[in-house]
Amino acid sequence: MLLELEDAVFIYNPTTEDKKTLPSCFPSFDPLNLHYSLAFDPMRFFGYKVIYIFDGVNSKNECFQTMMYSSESGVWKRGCSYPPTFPVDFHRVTYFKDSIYCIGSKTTLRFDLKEECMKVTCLRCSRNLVIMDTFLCLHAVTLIWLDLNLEDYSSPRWVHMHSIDLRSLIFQTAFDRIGYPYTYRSEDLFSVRYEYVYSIIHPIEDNEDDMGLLIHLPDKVLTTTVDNNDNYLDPNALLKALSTPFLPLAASTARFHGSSRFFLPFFLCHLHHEPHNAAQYGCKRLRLQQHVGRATRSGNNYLLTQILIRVSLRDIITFKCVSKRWLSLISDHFFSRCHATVKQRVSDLFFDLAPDTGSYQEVKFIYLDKKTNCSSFSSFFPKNPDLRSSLITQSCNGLTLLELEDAVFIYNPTTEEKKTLPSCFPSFDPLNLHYSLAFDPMSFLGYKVICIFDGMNSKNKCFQTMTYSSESSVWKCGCSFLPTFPVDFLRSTYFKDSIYWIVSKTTLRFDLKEECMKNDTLPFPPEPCHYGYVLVPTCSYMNLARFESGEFSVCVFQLKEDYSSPIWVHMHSIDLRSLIFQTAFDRIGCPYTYQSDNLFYVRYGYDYSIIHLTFSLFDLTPPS
Amino acid sequence: MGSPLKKIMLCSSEKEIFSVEEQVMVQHSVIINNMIEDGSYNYEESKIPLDCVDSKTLKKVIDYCTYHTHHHNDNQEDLEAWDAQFLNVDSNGLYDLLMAANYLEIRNLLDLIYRTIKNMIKGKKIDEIRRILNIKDHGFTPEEEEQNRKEYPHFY
Repeated sequence: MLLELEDAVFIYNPTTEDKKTLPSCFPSFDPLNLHYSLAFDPMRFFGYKVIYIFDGVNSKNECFQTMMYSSESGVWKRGCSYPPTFPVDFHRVTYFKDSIYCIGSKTTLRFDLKEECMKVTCLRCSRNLVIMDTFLCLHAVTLIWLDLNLEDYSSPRWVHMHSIDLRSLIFQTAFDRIGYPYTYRSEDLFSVRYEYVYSIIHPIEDNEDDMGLLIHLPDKVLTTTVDNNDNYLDPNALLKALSTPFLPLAASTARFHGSSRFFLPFFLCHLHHEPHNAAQYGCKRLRLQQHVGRATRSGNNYLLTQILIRVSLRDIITFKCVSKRWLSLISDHFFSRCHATVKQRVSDLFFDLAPDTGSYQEVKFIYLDKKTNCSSFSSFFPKNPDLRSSLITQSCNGLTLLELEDAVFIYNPTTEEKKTLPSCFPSFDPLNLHYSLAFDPMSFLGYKVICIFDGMNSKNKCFQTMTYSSESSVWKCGCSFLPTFPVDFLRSTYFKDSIYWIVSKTTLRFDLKEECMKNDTLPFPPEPCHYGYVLVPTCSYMNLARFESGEFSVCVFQLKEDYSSPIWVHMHSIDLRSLIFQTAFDRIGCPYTYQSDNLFYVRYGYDYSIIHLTFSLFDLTPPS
Repeated sequence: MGSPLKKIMLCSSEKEIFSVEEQVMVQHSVIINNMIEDGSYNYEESKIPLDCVDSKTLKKVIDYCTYHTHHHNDNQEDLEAWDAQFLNVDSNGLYDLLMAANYLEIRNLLDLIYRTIKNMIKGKKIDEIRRILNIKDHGFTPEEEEQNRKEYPHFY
């Protein structure tokens, strides 16, 4: 949510109550001519962006200038300029699918965030864009919103979806104010509405039978639910629970500019605090939870996407011609992301070969076919020469954590971007610092790094934690815990909001939400293993890889939580002989003498360490 | 976790009430599991209203959950045979099941239905798919459709 208060602009998260003041782009400007708008979409880009539009002059004429702020770079950047073709209301802007929309008299103006330019569109492609039309018959205020369905018809058109009667709400509000020194006058309602004080911030659409509205009044934000059957607005249901926040910010003319997704979790968290009316509440929560889980799902599109991502790529190309809806689903970013995560056919395994050699960094990428032999493998090198000698500490959802001498980097192998983390305490002995990375675009913004080191609390020796978040860019002191048993902090794994370390027979878990250590997790399979385990989560399943004794092979277990008690199920055995001999053979080319002991040594010493395991979801289930 | 014999009430869209072992639903449905854990369910009075699931579908869903709870130790082939038999319904029934599984967040059942539908459309031509999934309004203009047919004749 973007709030504007006098000259300052804030980003505000109603769920966490975090507030961040945006830097001013030009301190000398008259703040009246600045119009800000917010774009936040964790499914499409990192962080959030703020676009800001002001009157300016280009070489010849008066025109509008744009500036863009991105939370990732932290600076304002100059954008395009465009001539003012028609009057546009820049106070009301809406973010939808990589664009920011402003409503003009008959059409909408669209700022494309990818191309970073302004486009004029004629009421196209804006399914969730709310066009408000108010019909007035004395005190009856009706509100209509129209939904544009782009995909389903040959040409987009607006379909009338709802009419909502606001009378009861308005009377309720007016009545509430009598409590405060306020006299009710019918004109107020009108003026209030005309001046956009009653403005709809965000319609909450929930399945097909539950709708909600967030309404902004001068001193509070209300949420109301709308029952679709009789189109009656019931302001009492949630109004009281939801009207409490904004005390510090909403005192004066705070104005909302955009409120992408922040609202849904906000809505949910307040609903949790209203535990009366159990059955109805449960049902509501049920729907809301679904809604939050879906984020971008609309109607059955999510389900259709889930089916389509399971189809092979060859078929996908054919399926683009089935219907316009399928075409738009397949072309969507969300689809490609899902399709990439749920990999087809190929299972593979990343191996980090001999990281201790210091001079030569190579990561093997092994394709596994159904029979789980090493069928083929290819190598992957960091292109940046500095990084070849660094140690890959962890890989997490596409980002890797590298350590080189004293420095710690976040490295993105896809884009070759590298970022050096600030040191948490420059004076510490770097040998006792253990870093681990958590990156999960589906559950939180940015990435987090946890650092564990030996410290002292009031009485005893214990471990201390520090947490770094890319959003705040600072190290924060975390919990401390007692060293109850020996833990290998060198190998950490991120899985579902927690970081795991392996302890002799079980795991230690650092909960990122509660920011504390827990050891409530599952014990390992009972078979003895001398060479240690590696945790390798894939496709939202937890996997455990183990080196077989006596054989050059890796065993993979998967945690099945569907049964009454979670159990480890043996899924794969991977024969590594060909890989190991191949590597040994390659090294003869380099000045290297092959000795059979080396192979063992290499294996025992974790030099062959599994960095990342990716699986196809469907190879794991028997073909039907 | 309650005792295995505790029952919960589910209420279909036709207001028919089904009584199911708590364990069965809690194990399979994320949503019901959350509700029970929440403590917002009252064993004496509460019924869980499932307004968008009709009785026929709800009965099938309960069958699925019950069978998979009691037979999860069976060998894989038997389970698959049972699943195949279970999903031997017309496309409307399959659609209802999909919606119900999605609503209740039953991950195994969703996966099973996704796979079934995938196998139904895998490698098929476009006209066949439109027939199987009953897509009447494909949304392309006649010109676009003509163009597509000309460009990729082997798809149709």
